[in-house]
Order: sequence, then structure tokens, then C-alpha cells
Amino acid sequence: MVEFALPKNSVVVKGKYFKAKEGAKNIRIFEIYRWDPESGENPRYDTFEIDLDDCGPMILDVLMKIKDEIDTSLVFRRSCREGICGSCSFNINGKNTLACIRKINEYKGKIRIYPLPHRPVIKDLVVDLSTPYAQYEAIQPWLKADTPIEQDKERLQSPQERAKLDGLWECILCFCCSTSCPSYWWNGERGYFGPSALLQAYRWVEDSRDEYMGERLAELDDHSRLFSCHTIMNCMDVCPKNLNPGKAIAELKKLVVSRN
Amino acid sequence: MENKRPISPHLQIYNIFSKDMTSGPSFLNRFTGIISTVGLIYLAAWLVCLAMGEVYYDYYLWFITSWFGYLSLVGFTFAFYYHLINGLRFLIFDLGYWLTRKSMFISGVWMIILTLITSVGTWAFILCRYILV
Repeated sequence: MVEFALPKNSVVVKGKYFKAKEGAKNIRIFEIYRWDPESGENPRYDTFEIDLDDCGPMILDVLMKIKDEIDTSLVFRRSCREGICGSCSFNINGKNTLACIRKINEYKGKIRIYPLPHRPVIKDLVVDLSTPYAQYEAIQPWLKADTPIEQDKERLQSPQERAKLDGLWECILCFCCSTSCPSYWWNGERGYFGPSALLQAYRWVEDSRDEYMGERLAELDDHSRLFSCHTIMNCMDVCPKNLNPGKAIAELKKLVVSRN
Repeated sequence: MENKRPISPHLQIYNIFSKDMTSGPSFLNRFTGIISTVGLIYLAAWLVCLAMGEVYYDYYLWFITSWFGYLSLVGFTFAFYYHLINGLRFLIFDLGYWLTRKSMFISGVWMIILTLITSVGTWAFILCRYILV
């Protein structure tokens, strides 16, 4: 049965309030999800007043400022701060995105930063992504070919064949798409691979050098793995790299159906 | 592990009904499907009462011409047209078309406009032809 409400231990309660320093003029309010595994308490949201005159322009800058200056116990993933590592993916004002490539000015009023939806929380904004990673591994994201090639030669591909992979290979595995998908919320643990893994499945199906297209499609021909996608299309809506996993899944469905 | 990990909020915080016409119409599609199923019960009850004879049919007429009966019928009309038209939209998605940000939005807006036109049109026709005569 689909669970719409949160379990008792996951209900978010009101947390602490951190006031800005006196004299701050350009204040924005940030609401941030917190959960400490050692406290045994429910998750809470803390409210921070941030002086934007004394802060970088991006949402990630706010998180760094909080960790550096206000509350050092705040935990979140980040690395490259330029939208290529896929670490700082959060739910910001109700939509999944990367904190490092979103300007504070894009949002109006209070800004709510929550972890990626419907994942087990490890601490604060860090969620357990082992299921999506295992699903990514399950689609075998590497070149599979048996035809021998001469030593020191590459498997060649025409520019047209290579162009088919554009819009597929750029995925940075931030899992904004999978965790935005209502079907993945309720079917992800039951076998639905989710948009991110399926986009990569399509990337290898489309690769002209790969010789295992039939086997790959046979693996996906499953009620849960592929067909739990109901073309809700939140994935396309949130992708910070402007890719279209929903379209890739639709193409996969067509290939799987026409294969039989 | 000492504590059972909490699940991060999903429906509670996600912007489901945003202007992007992605998850919003999809959720409403489920909802109108449920409403339409309830409508089937009305339809079946109508046929049953019809088969059981005049007395029972009068009971049904009394119920269906009450304010609650009319309200349900208007609701079923909207739910039916929404489910039908959005269902056709989803069929086109399944063929691999209209899956871009722009066409999702345009098709979503048109779907709502057509739902309103067909539903209001149906009731305008019924009112003019049968009720207000």
C-alpha cells in the first residue's frame, strides 16, 4: 500500500531559531531540515536569518556560511561548487536541484532546504542513496562487446552515431530526477529503477559500439524496473543538467515493446 | 544501527502542483479516475432501479434530482472529461511525443481548457434542452 503520510519517527517538528547579527540589513530567512542520529529525536527544521550582504550569491554559499559561522554541526554533501559533481542535490522550495548552481535571488521570500525526498536520512541534508546506486550498477553502465579489435585500435563510431549520445552521457548522478519521481518514492524499493538509472540504460542501448542491446532490453522488460514509469515527467522538470530522462524511458519502452 | 532512520519528507514538501504541468495533472488523473469509478456506481444503481420497477426508479429520481445528486453529476462530468482528455495526452506521451518542457506545459493548459469547455458545454446543453424548458 502506498504511504502518503510520513512514519511517526519522520515527522518534522519546529527547531531552533538563529538570529542574524545586529545591524544586518539585507536579511533572508532559510529553513533547513535537521536530523541528528545520536539525539533520538524527530527531525526538525531550523530557521536561520542570513545577512545576504555578507554572503555569496548561491544557495550553497548560504549552507557554507551556516556551517562556517553559525552552526558547525550542519551536515551536507558538496564538492565542486560548479554543477558537475552532483553532490549538493537538495529539495529547495519544493523542487530538487543543485544548491551550487541556484542563485538566492531566483527565489522569493523564505527559502526551504530539505534533503532529497523519500530517502532514509543519514544526517541533516545527507540521505542514503545506496538503492539508486545499486540500480545504476544493475543496468551495467559499461561498454559490452565481444567482437575482438586489433591491438592499439579503438572501436570506431561515426559523428552521427556519437551525436545520439548527446543529452544522455551528461548525467552527473545527482539523483534529483529519481527522488523527484512519485512513482520512485513508492516503487523504488520494490524494483523500479528510476529515471537516473534508466537514462543511463538508454545511453548504453543507444551506443553503436555496444553489442548487448538485446540482453539489456530483456533485463528491463519487467513490470517494475521499466514500466513503473507513468510519464509523470518530474524528472525532466527538475534535471539540473536539462536532460530528459522521461523521454529516454519512453524510447526504452518503445524498444522493449517492439522487440517482442 | 541504534535509530531507525527517518524518511525524508516527500508529498509534504514537494511542489507537486507547480506550473510545470508534470506531477500535478498526473495526480489529478488518478483522483478523477477514482471519482469516475464512484460515478460507475451511480450508473449501475440507475440501471438496477430501472430494472426493479417504477417505485424504485422514483426513489432514484428523487435522489438524483436533489441538490446532492446534481452536484455529484456535475462532479462526475468534470472528472470524466478530465480523465478522458488527460488520458489521451498520456497516450501521446507513451508514443514518445510531447515530452519536452514546453509541450508538457502547452498540452497541460490545453487539456484543462478542453476539460472546461466540454464539461460546461455538456451542462449548458442539458440545462437548455431539458431542465430550463
